[in-house]
Amino acid sequence: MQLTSEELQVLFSGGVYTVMGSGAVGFSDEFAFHDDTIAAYAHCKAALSGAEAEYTNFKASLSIGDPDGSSDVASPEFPSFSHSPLLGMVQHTYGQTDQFVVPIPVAYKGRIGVQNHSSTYTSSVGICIIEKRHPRVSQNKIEVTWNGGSRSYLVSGNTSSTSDAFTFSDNAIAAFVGLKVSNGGTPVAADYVDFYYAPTLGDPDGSSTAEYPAWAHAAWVGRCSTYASNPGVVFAVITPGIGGRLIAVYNPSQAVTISASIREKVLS
Amino acid sequence: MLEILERQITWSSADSIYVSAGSTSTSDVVTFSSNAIKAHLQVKVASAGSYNSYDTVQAFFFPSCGDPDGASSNEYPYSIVCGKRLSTIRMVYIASQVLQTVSPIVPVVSGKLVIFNRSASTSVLASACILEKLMP
Repeated sequence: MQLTSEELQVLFSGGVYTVMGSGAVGFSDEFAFHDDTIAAYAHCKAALSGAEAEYTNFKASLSIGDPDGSSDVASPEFPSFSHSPLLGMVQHTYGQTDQFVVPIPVAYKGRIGVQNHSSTYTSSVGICIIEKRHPRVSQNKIEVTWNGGSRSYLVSGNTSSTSDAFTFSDNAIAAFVGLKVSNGGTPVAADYVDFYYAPTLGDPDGSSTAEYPAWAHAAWVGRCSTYASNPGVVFAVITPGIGGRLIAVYNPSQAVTISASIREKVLS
Repeated sequence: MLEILERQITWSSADSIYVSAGSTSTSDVVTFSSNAIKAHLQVKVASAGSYNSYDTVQAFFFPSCGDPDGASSNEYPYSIVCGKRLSTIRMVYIASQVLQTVSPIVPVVSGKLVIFNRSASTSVLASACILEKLMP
């Protein structure tokens, strides 16, 4: 048993590359990380069809599966382009063709968003990923619950909600969270929910059970704007301690339903 | 337990390369172990003369995960814009100086080291090695 490297070709409508029209925004086909993958790197290449001082953007739209249900295989949910973090860009200023390599979080599934910023030329895009796999690593889903066991939680008003406490496996070495907000009405620009991660390492002062930071001292993990896309889905990397809670701070003009799930990588 | 493996960076199979003033030099391809989990690269530069103030030597790493678009063999960044800048070594005004830096790199499939000697007048002798951490 040892660590191995494996190349994953990212496909576009089944092909190994795609040609993005001028100003076009699109996504690759969905791909799945192996359960035993512990690290991954994305290699992104773009070739502009003409000389222009523009660039091609690459974004990581990663999924932990189904944040508010159990249909991980059939219905994984992905962040929209605007909810996906930038992996990097190929600047065509210095050459029409270039490429870069960047670490990418090991999610459950993923797709790569691409935006051709040229208003004149097409951009030919290809992507491959290297996975580092170890047979002693596996993954596990933790479904976050709210209000005493509910998978989804309908909230309204300008306030906040704290999830039920969740617990990581003792042998967890990495963790990722998927956050989802569904707006039942017509979203407006200020309709978003900020999520914070309040981890615990146990009991700092020996006075009680596990203790958690309040919102003011929790770590911000992502903002779901239902105006940008409804539902809004966000993916984030979190640190697996003993456990934690999620805190949702919302300011929507109408009621929204929040949900979240976590994927942890465990070493046996 | 992790193991370590040292790899020599070469230029046309030589362990070092003279990089003339204002030019770049790209190393041979170095291939990582399949079970490498971490890697660091140490760059050593030795000036062949006196540098002017603010002269620098930059080291870039050009990694490859393979072939992104299925068109050929392994591909690498074309320009230093898309390479990973490891270090900028400032060559202070001292003759025959030797400076070294150590930087983390991504242990993907393979990579190249690019040395950019930004001096206008002085060449530099560059060499480098990689230390891989291997996970059994």
